[in-house]
Amino acid sequence: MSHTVNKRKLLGYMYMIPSLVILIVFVIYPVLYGFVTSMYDWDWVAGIDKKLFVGLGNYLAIFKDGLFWNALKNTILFAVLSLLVEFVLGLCCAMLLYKIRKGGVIFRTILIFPLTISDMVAAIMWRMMLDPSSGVVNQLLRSIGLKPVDWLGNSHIVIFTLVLVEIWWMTGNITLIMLAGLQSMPIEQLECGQIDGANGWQRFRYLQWPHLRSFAESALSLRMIDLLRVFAIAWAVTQGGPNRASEVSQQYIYTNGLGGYLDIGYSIAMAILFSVFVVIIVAVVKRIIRIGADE
Amino acid sequence: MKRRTRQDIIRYVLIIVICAFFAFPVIWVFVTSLKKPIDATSFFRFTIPPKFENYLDAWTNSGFSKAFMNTLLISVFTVAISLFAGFLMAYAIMRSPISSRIRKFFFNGVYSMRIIPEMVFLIPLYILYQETKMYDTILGLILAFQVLTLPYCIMLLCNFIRDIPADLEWAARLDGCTEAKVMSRVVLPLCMPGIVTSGILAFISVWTALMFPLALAYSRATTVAVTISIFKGYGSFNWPVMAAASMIITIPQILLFAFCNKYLISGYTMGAVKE
Repeated sequence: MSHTVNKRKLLGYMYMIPSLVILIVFVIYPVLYGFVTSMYDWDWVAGIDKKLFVGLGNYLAIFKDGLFWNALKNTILFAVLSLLVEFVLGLCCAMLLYKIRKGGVIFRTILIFPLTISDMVAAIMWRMMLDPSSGVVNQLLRSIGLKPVDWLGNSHIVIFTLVLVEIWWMTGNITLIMLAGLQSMPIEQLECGQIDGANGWQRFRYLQWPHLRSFAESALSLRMIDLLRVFAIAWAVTQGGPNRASEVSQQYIYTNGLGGYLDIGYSIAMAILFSVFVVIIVAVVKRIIRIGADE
Repeated sequence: MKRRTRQDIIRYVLIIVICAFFAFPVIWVFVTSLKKPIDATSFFRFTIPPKFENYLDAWTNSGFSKAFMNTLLISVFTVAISLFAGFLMAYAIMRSPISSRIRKFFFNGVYSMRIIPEMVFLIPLYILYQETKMYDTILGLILAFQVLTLPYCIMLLCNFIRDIPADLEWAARLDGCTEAKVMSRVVLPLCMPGIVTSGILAFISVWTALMFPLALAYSRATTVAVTISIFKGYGSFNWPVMAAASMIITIPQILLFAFCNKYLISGYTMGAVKE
């Protein structure tokens, strides 16, 4: 018996080989290489051969780099706003779809179609629609007598523009997950609540929400990971402008590295520091959702 | 009963308003893709008859058709590799008699790979690719995309394999099946929905990805997401062609929606529901 267990164990490790090879070469090695490179002052503009060990120098430089923190601030603002709107809207859609009997499939398909579209295409679509002079959104605003909005040029508005594109793109994801949560709930529980005379809000708060919380937790943390990594939308809708008012972290890191200034060591150091922030923020989001779970 | 109907009407009104917001941009882009440039800047002007040549223009424009075929090739092979390696890995994580600590180690390790931003990989892979002559090659992108798709496929497939009763495997073993047959004849067929689901999602994530092709390809192996970002340089004059290009890029997703709706939905739900 132990002979076959060992054989199966060995076989299991053999099955892992293809994945492990790929993951080691293309995930673990780049991360380690990046970590080492982040300790070097390596600026390809100054010369690809000049590689100088500076220890934590790049990381210290980041703390004095206002633009990095500006981009991080924009990223967090964008992510938190998007997450809130996506969650509230997605939950509402899920509740509506849950209750609707006829035509639910059509509505669901419409709601989730955007999330299969490329973020680049979504960005280009909205870039055309939000064009200040000839974009359709401002035309519609004008035609109902409202003032057109400078979606792409006003530094106070651009971040909300990105949020708008993002919620259009990804709200469907939260809708689907919360709908699955609602559907997995035994219907008797809800009916009990109805008989006991609980009103709509009480039914939601005390019967549905405790059941939905675990769904909400994974939906929100997964969305948060992706939101913080936003790149294409900012890159294509506003190019980070005006005046870096909508520049996001991955975009700033890319511009400093391969996408422009070729300051390789510094760019990697920023990417690694940014990853640390992503991990922390996602952990905080998870913690916030758990608040009240133990009450 | 009356209150019931009134509530239903409110629900329908709400969902129709929300759906209008989600459907409008797609409809608008489709309509715009059939206009003359001069009509595209106004919502209220239409081109009659519709100008289907825009699609031809987009297709023949600045290497778009080549990028389309590249992306197709890259997506298909990326998914094939991810599914092959991912299924073996997921099966081994979930079913081989390793200690639960090692199981957890692999499971969490794969899971946490999802959290690393793409930026961390770009420069190291760029340097690696320059040295190995893999820069701007289709093979290079296929391998680089494993960073995105492989951990994802492993996670999804683990969830699917977990739901397959282990008793079935033991029954097959008692009947004298070899280990290879247990996997290929018992688990693999039962796992088919999972394989289709993760394959579709991995396909979409490669099809739509921007950053890896942007950094690791230049002209030969470029993909549609990058090509369309060059289109945007045409400014407001070429909106119809840009809209047509957007529609062409979205064809695979439209097909998937038409034929694999069920799998798409289970995929987008699965990623989060079970951990």
